Order: sequence, then C-alpha cells, then structure tokens
Amino acid sequence: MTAADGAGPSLVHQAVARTAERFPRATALVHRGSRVEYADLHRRALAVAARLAGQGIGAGAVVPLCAPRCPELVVAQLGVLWCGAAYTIVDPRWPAERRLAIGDLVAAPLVLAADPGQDWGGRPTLPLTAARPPRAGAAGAAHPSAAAPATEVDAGAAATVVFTSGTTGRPKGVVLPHRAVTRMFRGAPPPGFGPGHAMPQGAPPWWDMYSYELLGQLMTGGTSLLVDGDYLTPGTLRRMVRQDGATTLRLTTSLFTLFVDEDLESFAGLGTVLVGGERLPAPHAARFLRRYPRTALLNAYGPTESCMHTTTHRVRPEDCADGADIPIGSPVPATTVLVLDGQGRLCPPGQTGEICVAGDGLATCYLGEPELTARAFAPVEVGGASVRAYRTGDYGLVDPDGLLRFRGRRDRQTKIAGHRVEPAEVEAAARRSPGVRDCAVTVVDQALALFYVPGDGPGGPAAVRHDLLSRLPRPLVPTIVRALDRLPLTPNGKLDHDALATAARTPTTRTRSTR
Amino acid sequence: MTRSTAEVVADIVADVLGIEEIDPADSFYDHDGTSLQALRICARIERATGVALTPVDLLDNDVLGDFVALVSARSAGDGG
Repeated sequence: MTAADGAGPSLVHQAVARTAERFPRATALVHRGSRVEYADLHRRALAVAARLAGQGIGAGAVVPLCAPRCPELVVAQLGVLWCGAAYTIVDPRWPAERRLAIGDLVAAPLVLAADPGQDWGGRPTLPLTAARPPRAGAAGAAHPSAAAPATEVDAGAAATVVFTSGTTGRPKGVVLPHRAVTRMFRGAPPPGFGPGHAMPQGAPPWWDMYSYELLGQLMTGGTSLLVDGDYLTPGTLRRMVRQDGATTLRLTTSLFTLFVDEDLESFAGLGTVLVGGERLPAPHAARFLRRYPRTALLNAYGPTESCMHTTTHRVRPEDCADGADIPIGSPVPATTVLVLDGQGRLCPPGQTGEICVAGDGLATCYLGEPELTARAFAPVEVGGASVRAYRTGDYGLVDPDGLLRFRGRRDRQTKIAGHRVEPAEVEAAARRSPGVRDCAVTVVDQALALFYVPGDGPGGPAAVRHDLLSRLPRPLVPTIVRALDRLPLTPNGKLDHDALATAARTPTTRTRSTR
Repeated sequence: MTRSTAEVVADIVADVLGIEEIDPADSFYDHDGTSLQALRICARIERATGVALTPVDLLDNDVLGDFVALVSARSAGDGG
C-alpha cells in the first residue's frame, strides 16, 4: 500500500513562505479574537530568525519552545526553522524534572520561554516575545527578506522533536524531519485544508497532531483557529463555526464520541471531521453520518514515528453496522504500509501481522537512543529491495477491499484520551516514590489506574499521586490510585486484571485530595 | 417548578461521576475524576444552563461545592 507525493516545497518554513507569497492578506491565525495575516506571520518569523541566528543558532541545534499555544509560539517555530535548526515544544506546566531532562537530551543551546524566569538548569532563556516584531526602523523590519538567514538544510533535516511516552522511564524524543511534516501537504490539499478552510487547533502543542492541524493549514493557505486554553469544548466549537468560519475539525476518538454523546449539533457547519488515536465505535460514527450525511468523516491512524497520519479512511454508512470494525484505510501521500508476519514476510490479504510503515513520514531516530532506534526502524526486505520501516507494535490486516484494519497491540502500550501511555514509564516513576514498594499500572474504565503495595515511606494514595505529578506530565498521572496488600495474580502467575478492575471500582476511604 | 442552577449542576456532576448525590466537601479527584469526565460535565452544563465553561474551571475548583457555586455565580452574572 503506497501513495505518491506532490510537488510543493519539502521544507516546512518554505511551504509557509510560499503561502505568504500567494495569499499575503489571508488570515493565517486567529487567537482570542485577533487575526494574524500571512504576510505578518512571515515577517515576524524572519525577524525572530535573524535574532536567533545572531545568538549562533543554526543547523543541527534543537531549541526548546516553552509556551502554551499562541501566535508568538507559531512565529518562534518558523523562526527556528528559518535558522536551519529544529524546535521541541515543552508544556510550561510539565514538572521541572522532565523539563530539565529534555533540555539535556536535546543539548539546548538556549530556550525560548513564555516565562523566561523559569528554571532551565542554567541554560540561557530568552522571552518568547523576542518573537515580537522589532521597532519600526530597526534592522530587519523594513526588508525582512534581507535579514533571512541563508542556512540551507535538506528535507531530511530535523524540524521538530516530539516527546512521547517511553518504556524506559525517560522521556522519548522522536526526531521528525521536514519531509515527514510536509509530505501530505505538497500536492493538492487534503480534504478540509487550503484556502477557504479554517480549523480549530486543539491538539496539545507538544504532540505531532499539533503540526497536522497548524502547519497543515499554514502550508496550504487555510486558517488555524488557536483554541484558548487546553480543551476544545462543544460550546467553543459552535462559536468557532459561527464566528470564525470553521470548516474542518480533528478530534481524538474519545473526544469525538463525547461530542456525539453530549452535543451532536455542535458539528453543524463543518465539512470535514477527522477522528483518530483509538478504535472508532461504530454506533457513534453511524449517529454522526445519519445527522451529517454530506460531511466527510475520516477515520485516521498513525503513530508519532510516522508523523501525523499514516492511513485514513472516509467512513461510509455501510462501515458502521452494529459491532462493525471501521477500517483505518489507505496510506496518506508518500507513505507505505506493510503488514508483516513473524518472519518479516508480507502477509497476504486477510492475514493478521504487524503494521510496519515506510516512506517520508518516518522519524529520523529516537534522540540519544541508538539501540532503540535500530530495533524500531530496522530495514525490511520487500520484493528484493531493502526499505527502512518502523515497526509500530500494532497488529493489523489488509481486508479484501485493500483497506487496513486495526487488530490490537503487541505490548502493553495503551491510549488515554487519545494519547499514548506506556504503563512501564508510569510504573518506573511510581517505584521511585518512597511510599511505593511494588506497583502495576493498567487501564480501568478508560482511566489510568495505579495499584501499589505501600513501602516503608510515608504517604497514602493521594500522596503517591501528588508525588507522580512532580515527575510526569498530567496525562501520564493515574487518576485511580489504590493501595493493596499485594498485587493480585492469576493461578499461572500473571497480573490478575479482573481483580484489579474490581479493586479500582471499589471506592477508597475518602482522603482529601492534594492533587 | 424551575430548578436552581445549583441543583442542575449538582445532578450533572453526580450523574457523570456515577454517584447518587454529591457531597459539596468532596473533591472531583476523590471520585477519580478524569479530564474527559470534566469535559463531559462542562459540555452538559453549558447545554443545560448556557454558562460557557472549560474543564479547567472544574479541575482548578475541584471541591464540588465550590464548583457548583462558581457556575451559579456565572449564571446569575449572565442575568439568568
């Protein structure tokens, strides 16, 4: 399964610059009711680039951008790329321990932060608002193109590093090159993207789907509507359709089902809705299509290691029979999907194997993890040729119609609200807590649950949870925390998940939350 | 008989958390509340009362009595 790519620029910042050249007065960003035009965005990005280049930032550097979503963050991203460098976006609320670990991992020469007073372990920290346009008459303002750094990088150069949950207990940095981000936007824009389109940007900035929502529109001439705060609610969506002309929406599957349950009318006015990250429940898709038969509902699949989407499928009413498994579809441009058996041979249609992905979407590496990289991105032999492919750890099959279908995980990796969670990472963090001797992390009723055997140190469940909040980003912190005398095992010595689920559903003695 | 905003909000919170009745002194986190449940509560309250909320309003005012009071105050502020 392969799809070809188009002919537009393969560098992210050049693709955005081309949009600015074609549609200078079009709206690139909307945030808190104010608009940023493409020409302005481009000019400000070049001004930031000039300042960063003056600080010695160039090809090979990775600059942490520590900020909530806002126009200044977008300007800073493009400014870094114009220098030939890459950025990694850090949530300012992440625990200091994680922030500092990321600064070390990327060997950050400096940091651009919304709060420049934040501790980055002595690394030079500049205010993100260095992204503001310079004073009139200042160098670079009148002739911004003259100030553009002349750094040349190729499409294989790193554009961004996305940190995701890893099994080792350390943050896992996925290095994504320019071509991975541009590959599906170089030809005719995908449905819902390009001039005349506007899309809420609700994915967290540290995630690869942020690039999809934001840069996908900026590289094709659409408008990105930056959600104020962390969460897009159905009420916000209604206002974005009415006031800002939203046409396109991407939601993680669990949010999509919530919107369908609680406020199906909030989708009114949209032409394209993309859903992904978890299995799409057929009854919700069916309800959506009955109400919006003309709206394109796309079911999308893709791990971060093959940037943004790997496959998509336009959901048809006949896909949504009760209990049906909705296909995840066909590859996006410049992307190849191979379903391989245990011996690395291509599975015939209908046979389940591991989903492996090749093509321009692939990450370059896991930062500082050569062995992990070699294992995950090993070459595979296809038709006598050797191609670099990412082993997703997902099982799947190609159905008789040639559509990919998802068949579960090889390991314990799971999704909470659409975000990847490695239980081993959470367990590793919990074991460092003085109140924990042994522990297990699992999912109960769609919530992350930690079961632990208390250690000699002080603290009940609330204290353990509080401790985890100082080590892990919030989505990785279990909402259910239960102390047990021992971890329940099945007769053959495996963790007894049924017994854990029962324990999770039993309310604890109330302890005042310390959050 | 029209129910007060506080009653409507208390019922929605209890329903989403799967409990009979809320104890105003309880924290949202005492009930293992997730951010998705917070979003569901906010979406439902906005539809029922017209008060626009985001999950942060609940996650930052996690004592349920405080949250009910916050929504009631906003509702009164909007003239309804």
